[in-house]
Amino acid sequence: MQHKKKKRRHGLPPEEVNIVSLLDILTTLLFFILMVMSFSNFSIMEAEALLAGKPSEQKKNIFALRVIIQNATLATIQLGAIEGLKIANQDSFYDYLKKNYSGSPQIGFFKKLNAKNHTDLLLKIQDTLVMIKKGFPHEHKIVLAFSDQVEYQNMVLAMNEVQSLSDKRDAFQITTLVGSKEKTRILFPSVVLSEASGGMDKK
Amino acid sequence: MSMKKRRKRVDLPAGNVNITSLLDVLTVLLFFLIQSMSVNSMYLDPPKGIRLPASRITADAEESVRVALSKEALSVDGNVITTLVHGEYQKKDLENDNKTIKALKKILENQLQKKHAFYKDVGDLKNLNPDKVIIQADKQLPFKLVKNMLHTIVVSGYFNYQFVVVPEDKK
Repeated sequence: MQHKKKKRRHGLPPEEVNIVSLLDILTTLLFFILMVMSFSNFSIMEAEALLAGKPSEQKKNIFALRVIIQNATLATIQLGAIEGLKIANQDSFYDYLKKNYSGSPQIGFFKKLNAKNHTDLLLKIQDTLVMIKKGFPHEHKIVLAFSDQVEYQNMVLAMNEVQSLSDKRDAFQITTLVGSKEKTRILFPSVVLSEASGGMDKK
Repeated sequence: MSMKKRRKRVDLPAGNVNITSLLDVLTVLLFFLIQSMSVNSMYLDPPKGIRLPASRITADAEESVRVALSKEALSVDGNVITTLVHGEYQKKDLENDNKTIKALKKILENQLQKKHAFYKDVGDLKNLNPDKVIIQADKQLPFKLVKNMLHTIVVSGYFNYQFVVVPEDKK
């Protein structure tokens, strides 16, 4: 009986695709990415240090806004002497300060804020800063001072809230010194840190 | 004479492994990882014992010295330099002003000198960015502990801070 020689089929049938190399690349790439990638999502919040210096010899006032957070429910807003400074809507701003603050344009103003909890306190601070920003739309610097018992998380939250309004809050309108009106959420993005009782400063 | 029955060799079909689903999974996983991966030269994973505070700020870190403060220890670039006892700095670790942390000041001053020396050599001191320090601290620490670290950083010549935070929904 003769065996029929079977013809061998050479090569792959046309419908088959050799994906060995593709699989190689996928697997290698996958493991490489798994090894190098970082699953953590960190961000950075910037701030400056308060530097001690000689008192200014200039007679001209400069904008000086300071928020002192004593604890989770108490804060003080201090606005330095504003006489001679450029203020947007000056008359209405002076009226607001006279009604809500203690002090005068020559020596400065201050106001204590009491709240039920830290979240409420930060909201009140923000509302106050919005009003001050409307008077000084061109100013960006604020000094944030904390007492020893304030928690670091609350310190970070306070830094957050004085820089800008969150998306949950409506933007507010400011009138620039040239008279143009614009809506913004930016408050005082340049934060300088200090301590409530003294200064963390370089002498 | 019995006829031996010849067993027919049953040819088994060639082993076909269906890898469609495997390929599916690999491709989806790959695209997901490419989409979500964070490529940052800065290593910001906090040391053990530090839970970072949450914030809505999203900004990237600039490469700098990393100072980390937990309830147990203070470290610089991952190396512990001072230990805290009962959540307080030890008196021997502080200078006479009770504010400046000796070991931290020494390390930061050295780092700054090296950096300035390097930039001076290449003639680029004027273009040097403000010196910054990356700070990682446990969110429950009182400001009393944090301020000593911040004060020491300033005294060492760094006037800008970069506080590492996590997104607000990821406390």
